[in-house]
Amino acid sequence: MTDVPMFYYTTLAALLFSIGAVGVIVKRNPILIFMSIELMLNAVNLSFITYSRYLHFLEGQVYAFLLITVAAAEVAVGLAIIVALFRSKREVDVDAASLMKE
Amino acid sequence: MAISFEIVFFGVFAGIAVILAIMMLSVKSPVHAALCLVGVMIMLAILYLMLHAYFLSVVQIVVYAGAVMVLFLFVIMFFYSPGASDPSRMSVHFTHIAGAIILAVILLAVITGSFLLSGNVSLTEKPSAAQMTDIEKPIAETSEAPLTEETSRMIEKQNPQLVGRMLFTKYLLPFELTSLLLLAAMVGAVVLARRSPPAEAGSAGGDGND
Amino acid sequence: MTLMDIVWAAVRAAAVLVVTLGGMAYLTLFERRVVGFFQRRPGPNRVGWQGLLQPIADAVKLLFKQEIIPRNADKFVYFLAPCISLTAAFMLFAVIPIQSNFAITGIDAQTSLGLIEDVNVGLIYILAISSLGTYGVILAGWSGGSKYSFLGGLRSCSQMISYELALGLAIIPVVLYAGTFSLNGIVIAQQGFFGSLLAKPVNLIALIPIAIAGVTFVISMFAETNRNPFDLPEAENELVAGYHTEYSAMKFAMFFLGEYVSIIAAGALAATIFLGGWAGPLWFGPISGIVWFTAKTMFFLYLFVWVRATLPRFRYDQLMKFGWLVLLPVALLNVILMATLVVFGIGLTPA
Repeated sequence: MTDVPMFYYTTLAALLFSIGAVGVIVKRNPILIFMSIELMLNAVNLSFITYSRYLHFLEGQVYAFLLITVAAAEVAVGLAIIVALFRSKREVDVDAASLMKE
Repeated sequence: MAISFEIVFFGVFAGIAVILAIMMLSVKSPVHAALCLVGVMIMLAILYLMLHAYFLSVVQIVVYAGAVMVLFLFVIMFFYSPGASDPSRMSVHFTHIAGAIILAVILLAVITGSFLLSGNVSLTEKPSAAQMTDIEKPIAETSEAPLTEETSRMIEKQNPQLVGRMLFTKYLLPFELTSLLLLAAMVGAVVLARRSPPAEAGSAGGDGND
Repeated sequence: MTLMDIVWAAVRAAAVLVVTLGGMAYLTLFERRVVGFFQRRPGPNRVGWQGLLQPIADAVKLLFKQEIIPRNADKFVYFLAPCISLTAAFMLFAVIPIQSNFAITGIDAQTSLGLIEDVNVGLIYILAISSLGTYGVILAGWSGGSKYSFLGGLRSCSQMISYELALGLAIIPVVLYAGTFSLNGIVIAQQGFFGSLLAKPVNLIALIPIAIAGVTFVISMFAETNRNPFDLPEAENELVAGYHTEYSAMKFAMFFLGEYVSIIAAGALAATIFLGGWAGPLWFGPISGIVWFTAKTMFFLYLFVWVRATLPRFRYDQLMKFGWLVLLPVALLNVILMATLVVFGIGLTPA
């Protein structure tokens, strides 16, 4: 049986990462920006696991596991910040959070 | 059969993942965007299965699809009623999008190029002794061939054990640090999300505990 | 993987689908008759002999009812939610073993029914799929565009998330004892339990944490499947009908189906994890596995109905308090207890 070449997986990871990067740049809504960041993290995870499989290093899976945990912690805090932002500003634009500049 | 099922499956799941990821950026409603992201995560979990990372595949669904995205949906649903679209979409200029896409193409080219330069590894290559995990070593030593189809299948079925053993031996410190991080995140979320300090301290606790 | 494997997997999946759907239809009748028995009334007994055709009549009625879609509903999500509920419930069956290794069919002697071959992640897969079930609830509550259904959806979603923790912790003692996440491996470990008592009588102590785990597991399963005494989403007096207030006809029926399918799955799981699944004290030919498995599942289904007929409903704050302040600490302490026992050499895991 022919296996899927590793290149396919890494290309997919790169594609997803780039799409996430577009989202971070283009979107103005903090929730959507946050979701794009999650997409980028997922793409990184995919490349970790791909290398873990093709290089026979279990470390890749361990890193991916730690990454998922860190992402979960990040989401808890990030969403709490977004909720606080929405509550105080009633705005859905990230530029509304530039209060510290003035 | 010329094309193996694996490549067909990969094509289908990867295609769906990319389409959903693009849809995530293009749909109007934030709830739909979140659902697209859930779809991408489930597709990735299936790809992890194909990469024989069984434990990670299930963890991906439990943590990402089951907890993180539910939290996202909770927050989005509080701020958008059905049918509402994201008003901040209007303030995005066409030039922003064009610029971002050009940047993304450059990024894609750089990442793919670096992946290509780092070399393509095919699965048929046997891992060298240094690359073998601690658990693989004794199995490989006792058998004649380094890693036959049979033994590698046996090892793959033990995937949760292997990842677990690694987490609790070699990577114990990072693992414990993440637990500390989670605790800090939980406290932070509770403090940030509650309205006024004395009131409803109990009800805010649910937010951070996921 | 060959074409044959894929076809065979599809056949097995279809068989499970048909059996579960039939079982689900008659579970509704069973429940109504048993509840009737508890309340000293006959229950539905008019359609067919002893009411045996009642489920078919119900299905026909639901099929031909008028469909009402709320004007300000989010159409796509509104259609998606019941599909998720039903699919997630069915996917639970993928890893539940119903036969020993002496499968009736000769192919690979595969024991688990579904797509995931007996890989060592069966139990976490169950947790993953049951966490996907929350999507059906929260999306249904939101997409209807009604305050009642939204509040109902939020309530049952947070209920499911809270009890999922206790559910996850309840299965850990079993995993610690058996040393595997594979459901078939767990059944085999239970099969060897009484044999191991001869060599190591101390092993009997392991029954204490396992029994506590069983009780916590069943209680959190009641909450996961939104059953009495935790059926807050259906608290008619406060929330009309909870998250599926805005649903009618076939889409309502899909939630209904999903609920009963997940009840069957919960019963089958409890039977597999705590009562030995297909293993039984008597061996009578190739169908013995299925017979034992069905009997044990039926016991849990009866328990579900029994509890429904007996206990009153919790209030929402009581439910959350019970989950976080009673069930979760008990399950956590139980994990520590079992871990301690394993360290002292009890259980199948080599220390």
